Amino acid sequence: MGFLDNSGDIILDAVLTDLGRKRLSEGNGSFNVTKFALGDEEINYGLWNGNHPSGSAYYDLEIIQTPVLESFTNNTSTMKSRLMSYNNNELFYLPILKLNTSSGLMGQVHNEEKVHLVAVDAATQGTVGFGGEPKSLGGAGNKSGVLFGFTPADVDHMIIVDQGIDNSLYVSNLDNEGLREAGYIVEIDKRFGKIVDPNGDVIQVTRNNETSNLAVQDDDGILSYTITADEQTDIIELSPTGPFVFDGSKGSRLKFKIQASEILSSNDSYFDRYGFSKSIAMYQGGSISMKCIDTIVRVTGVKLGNSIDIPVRFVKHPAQS
Amino acid sequence: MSFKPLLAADKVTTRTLLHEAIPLTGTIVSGTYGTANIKNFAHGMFQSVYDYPYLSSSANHIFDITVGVGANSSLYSSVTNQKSKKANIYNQMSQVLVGYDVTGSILRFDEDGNISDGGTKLDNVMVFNFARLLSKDEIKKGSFRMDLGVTPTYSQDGGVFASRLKITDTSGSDGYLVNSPAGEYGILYATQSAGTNVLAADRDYAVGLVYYQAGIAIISGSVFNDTDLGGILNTSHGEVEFSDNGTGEHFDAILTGSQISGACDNIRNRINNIQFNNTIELNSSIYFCRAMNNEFNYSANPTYLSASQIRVKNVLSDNPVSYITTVGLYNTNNELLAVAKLSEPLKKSPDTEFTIRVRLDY
Repeated sequence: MGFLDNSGDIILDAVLTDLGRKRLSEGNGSFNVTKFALGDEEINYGLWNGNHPSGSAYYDLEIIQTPVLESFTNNTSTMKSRLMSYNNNELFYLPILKLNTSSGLMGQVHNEEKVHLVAVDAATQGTVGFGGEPKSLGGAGNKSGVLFGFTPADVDHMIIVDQGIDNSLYVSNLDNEGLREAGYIVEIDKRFGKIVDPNGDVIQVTRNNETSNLAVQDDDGILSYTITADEQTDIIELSPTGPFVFDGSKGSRLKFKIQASEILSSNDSYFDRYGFSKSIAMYQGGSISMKCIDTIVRVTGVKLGNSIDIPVRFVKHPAQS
Repeated sequence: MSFKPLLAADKVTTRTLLHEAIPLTGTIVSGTYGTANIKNFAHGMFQSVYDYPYLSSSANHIFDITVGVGANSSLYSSVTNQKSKKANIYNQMSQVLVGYDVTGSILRFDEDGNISDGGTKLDNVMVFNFARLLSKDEIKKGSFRMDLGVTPTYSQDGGVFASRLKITDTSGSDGYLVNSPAGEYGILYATQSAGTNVLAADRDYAVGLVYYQAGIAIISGSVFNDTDLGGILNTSHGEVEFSDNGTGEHFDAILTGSQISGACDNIRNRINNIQFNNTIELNSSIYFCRAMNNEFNYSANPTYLSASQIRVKNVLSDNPVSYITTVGLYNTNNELLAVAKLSEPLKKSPDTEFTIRVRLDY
């Protein structure tokens, strides 16, 4: 996308997204604009210079010179960061989302790879052996940072996201300012996996006495789960207990696991197309070249709009390839 | 707190008519690219004109040209080449553009559009079908103009344009006819635009019809004939010749004796200029996205905070500031349906309010 001409009057470059066109073509009323949001994804607030020697008029000099890109039509590529409305103009701190990798909560990342690894089959999990579990990645659940993508219920390892103030100077209750997040949107590429609850079960919701799968798929194959604390108490804790990752005020906590897609478990085609091979340490001793796919699980707060991109690596033991 | 509902008063639908000027210089039609931009088909029913050699991917189809002879034409029995195809073209065009009578019979093109009162019928016609790429939703009424070279002597070097007729739908802008199944249409009138004593009389002659929504012009063969042959040209000026073989082949001769493609070649050689304005009917939804003073002053941008502290505040009492670059329009399922980008960041703080007008065109 090119930059928009910013030499004259402010102009607006509006397009339908690919999802918008899809909804329009469906003709079932799903193309119905009911609300709007404002975004600022090009802005780097780090350019704010509150100590500019020429005074406050120059604090945002570099920010307002930011060139703006033309509109993306891909619905998942835009509106990544949204502007927020709070009634209190004197907020000085705002909560963020942060990965809680505490061992006490089984949320660790893999020691060597520094990301969460998802073992896509039983051999990689170490729950069925090719030469025994010590030569597997997951060591039958003994290796921290390895999630079981084949049988998620068989291990306690999970991904944990905490909300809170990352500053010890603010320790007030977040509820005072309405800053506690009670809902999250979790997005994952359907080709590689889906989100399951900490028990390893499919996330479902019961509304009007009807139970349905919570996942919604967009035109790009991204699964989106809008999880709320009142419906999914296993997944969202509004007032969690420690250990915490924040020195300041503590907010809610999101916990989930990932189930690898069947195609990752059963064959190598996606690994060959989207992945790479990497030598990764086995549970006990030695390392072996394993097939990997790196992707991102995106978590966004429903109320406050904070987001965090969690890197995740799907891994397959070569003995199964 | 990041979404704001759009109320009924925030949505407006409008309809706008846009017009583009479409000038088709005669040289493109009759010679710039030789015949490389002219496509003939094995079926021989019509000829297509492109704005560039048609084998190039850059070429755009601009119009088709063909000829038709109705079964009621005095020439019909004399047609010796592609007789049925010329009749089929006439019937196809007239059934689409003029329609049927109460018995189901196909009506004929009528010179003044007053079909029921009889009058002069157009039975020997040239048909110009303009591509939708050019005519879009319709040809703008009152904007159509075609200049035809009617110098009697045949040549292929532009010498045929010394005498010219200007064919326009001058009445179209304030009067047009609506008794066609294909929409509105206007009468085309010919006047002399170059040369002397070109027309039989110093007046406008009705020589055809232009169907605005269909993007089709029907022009009578009378524009190339003098009054001795039932045409509109002055006998002292003489009818138009279409070959240099000394036989003085006039329009009736190519209509009866030539293939459709040959007739089209001859007609194209006489086209000096075509121009019209098209019309695009633009239906728009306008969304007024109102950011009030107490709204959208904070951001969820990851760079907005440093150790959870808002970067754009030096002290607690400073006003929060954010910068708008994007407007997203959503449905009730939080699906992003449309996105609009501002050409430069717009500073938002509690002492400012904005209404951003997002227009989606269909």
